[in-house]
Amino acid sequence: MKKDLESNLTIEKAAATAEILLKYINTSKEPVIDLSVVEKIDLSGIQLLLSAQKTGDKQSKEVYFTGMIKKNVYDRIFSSGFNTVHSESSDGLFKIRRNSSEL
Amino acid sequence: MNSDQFRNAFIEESMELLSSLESRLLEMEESPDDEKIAAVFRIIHTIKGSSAMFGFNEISEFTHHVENILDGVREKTVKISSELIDWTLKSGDHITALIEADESAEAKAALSRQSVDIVNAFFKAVGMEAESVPGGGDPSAAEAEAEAGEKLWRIRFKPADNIFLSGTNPLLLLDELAEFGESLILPHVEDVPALDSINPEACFVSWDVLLLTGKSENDIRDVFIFIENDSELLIQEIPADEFNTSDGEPPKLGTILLNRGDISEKALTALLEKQKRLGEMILENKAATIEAVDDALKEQDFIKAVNEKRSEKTVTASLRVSSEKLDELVNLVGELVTVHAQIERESDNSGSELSAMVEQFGRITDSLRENTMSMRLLPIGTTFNRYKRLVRDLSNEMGKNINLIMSGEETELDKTVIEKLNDPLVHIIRNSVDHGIECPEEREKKGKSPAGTVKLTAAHAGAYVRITIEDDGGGLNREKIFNKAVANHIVESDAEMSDDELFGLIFSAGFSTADKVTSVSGRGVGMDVVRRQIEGLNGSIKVESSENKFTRIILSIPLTLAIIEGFLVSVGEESFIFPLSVVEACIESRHSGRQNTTKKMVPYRDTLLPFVDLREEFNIADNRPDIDQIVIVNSDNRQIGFCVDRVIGEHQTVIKSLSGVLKGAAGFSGATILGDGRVALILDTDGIIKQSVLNEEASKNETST
Repeated sequence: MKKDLESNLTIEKAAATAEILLKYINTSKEPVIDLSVVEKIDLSGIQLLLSAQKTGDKQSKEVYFTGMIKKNVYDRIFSSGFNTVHSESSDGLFKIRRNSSEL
Repeated sequence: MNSDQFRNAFIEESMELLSSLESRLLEMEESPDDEKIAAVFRIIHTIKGSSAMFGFNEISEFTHHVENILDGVREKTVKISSELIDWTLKSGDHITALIEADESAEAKAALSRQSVDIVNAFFKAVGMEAESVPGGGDPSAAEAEAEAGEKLWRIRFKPADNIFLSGTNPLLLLDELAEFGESLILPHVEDVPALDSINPEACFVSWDVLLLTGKSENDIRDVFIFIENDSELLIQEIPADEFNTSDGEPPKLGTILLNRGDISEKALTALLEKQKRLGEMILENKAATIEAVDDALKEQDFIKAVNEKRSEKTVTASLRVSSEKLDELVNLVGELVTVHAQIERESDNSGSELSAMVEQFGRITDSLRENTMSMRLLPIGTTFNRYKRLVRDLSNEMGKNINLIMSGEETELDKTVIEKLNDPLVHIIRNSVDHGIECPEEREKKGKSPAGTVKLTAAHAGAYVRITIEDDGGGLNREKIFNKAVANHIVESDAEMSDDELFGLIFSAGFSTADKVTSVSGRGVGMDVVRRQIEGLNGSIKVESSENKFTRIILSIPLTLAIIEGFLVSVGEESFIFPLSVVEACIESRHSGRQNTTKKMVPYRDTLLPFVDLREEFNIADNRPDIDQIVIVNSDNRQIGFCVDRVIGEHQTVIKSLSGVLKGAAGFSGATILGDGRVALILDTDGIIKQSVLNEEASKNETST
């Protein structure tokens, strides 16, 4: 089951989002986080997505993201030096990596 | 480039900048906004930078003061006033004088004194203290040079953990950096913990930013000014020789890692000795982290891309070519066109293979000609802009309020023509401002708006550019002109004259109807010079006017003076060329059918057109063919025919000017060399018509007496 995120991934919601994400990753076998509802993101939000990936690594799970990202959200991620890198095996699943890194 | 070439390039560039300074300033005065202010500031700033770089210290020092004042305008501490505009314009003039100054110590000293005077007066006029110039206002050449070129910077930025709490968004700082130039943003995420141990309100990401910019270290540091104390910030210049290697290759991976401090020199040397791929060895030996190697590889790619882009820029950038070289090219193309015509003629009698080659040669020559001519075309706006200043200065001097409205500045015209147009246009505009537009009180009495308008427009009209100078002033006074012409014995007191003829008198030497002589005009010199200059350009000039409403002076100038599309005809053994642009049609006319008519008229499209018989006009005695060809041309807004023996067709005509006794011969505007080496005269249709009318009148008079 994939997890929908709230529309604001910003510092105001950071603590709550961190809690929701951790709970979801802990309980899901193949965690997939849907970013399509996210309308605003800042560095704290990007950091939480990166942290979610690391959490998966720690638990030997692959944390993926999915959903059509809003342009302003994508631009924000990209201008911070990150990019979305799609998985070759699963349609529509991606990770957030440093620009042009391999998956 | 040797140092002279650099200096010449500087002079050329500065002159262009100074010319745009005038128009920018006047635009700024008209409707000030930040963009226009910034444009003016940039011009002065650029001149300052490049003058320091090329060793014009006097100029860089002077412009530095002007720049300070303009900086005040940018910062809104100095108001935009007519004094500010005046003094900035004067400063521009002074910079021109400094650029053009000869090397003599005396001249230098005089200009130096002037620099001080102007700067002091400028500061006073805008209410700034002259002493407030920082550091005495002597910018170091090194500083200016630093600003002139782009440098590559490596910026390591690790925000403080608690940066979010202060409300600062580090991403906005990255955005600001990115606006400085080309950038590569490399984030570091090693410190970002997993969700179970993260403080979501703390910042764990840091960045390496590679930035190629013309900005200084201080400019970059300024971006971080509010957070510099709490954050880790390292700004490091990557020396030009490191990223711009002579072979165009980016620096080696090892060099980058070493410079970034990500690997020790000892470890690097040891690994290099193993002769394997360095990246692999570093990772195998854990000499640096995978992220560090990844970053270094990205830096390498970025530098490679920057270098490639730079070399691309060098290739695609425009070239400055001296106008003499361009003129020489035009001359050579002219010769080529002539040689092509000769080869074409010879190949007519030979095999078809050669003909096909000559045809191809002809097409290439045509393209070459068009390309070369287009290189010499410049938008006429380059000359129009200087008239804004002229009108502004003159109207201030005369106490009049005059707007100059320009349109068609983008109309292109041959460079040499544009240069020669300047003097005539200055004369005409001066006349409009001085004699044309009335003073505000008089205009109000006439029910006009107190502000007068001078309209300057340019537009293409076939092979000509039509330039119109129109003022909404008092217009020409028929009676006054006539009386003056009678008094000057130019016309008889009982002569009857059309508007065209009468207004044409203002172009007579020594003719002025102005009641008073001002410093601007009214001395009776000017308009006759204007006519000569325009005619020297193979152009024509016409005046239209309505009293108390307007005066409109229309100049028709040929697009180019070097090569035209001609229309070749012959009469007997002689060849003549019409400019193709004036040719409307060709019709046949049986000579015998017209034998008994005294009036030379031919039917053309439901009307009868008058024609000039070139055989008679030029006294050519050969046998006349039974069927004549009438070339119908547009001349002075009407159609008229020219009777010739044979129409040969279009001809690329390289214009050679007439000299010696032929110079100024009525009816001819030049000559050209045909493929067989013979000379064909280029017809000035207007001139022939005038001459023909005069001849006819003279013969009528003879008959009547």
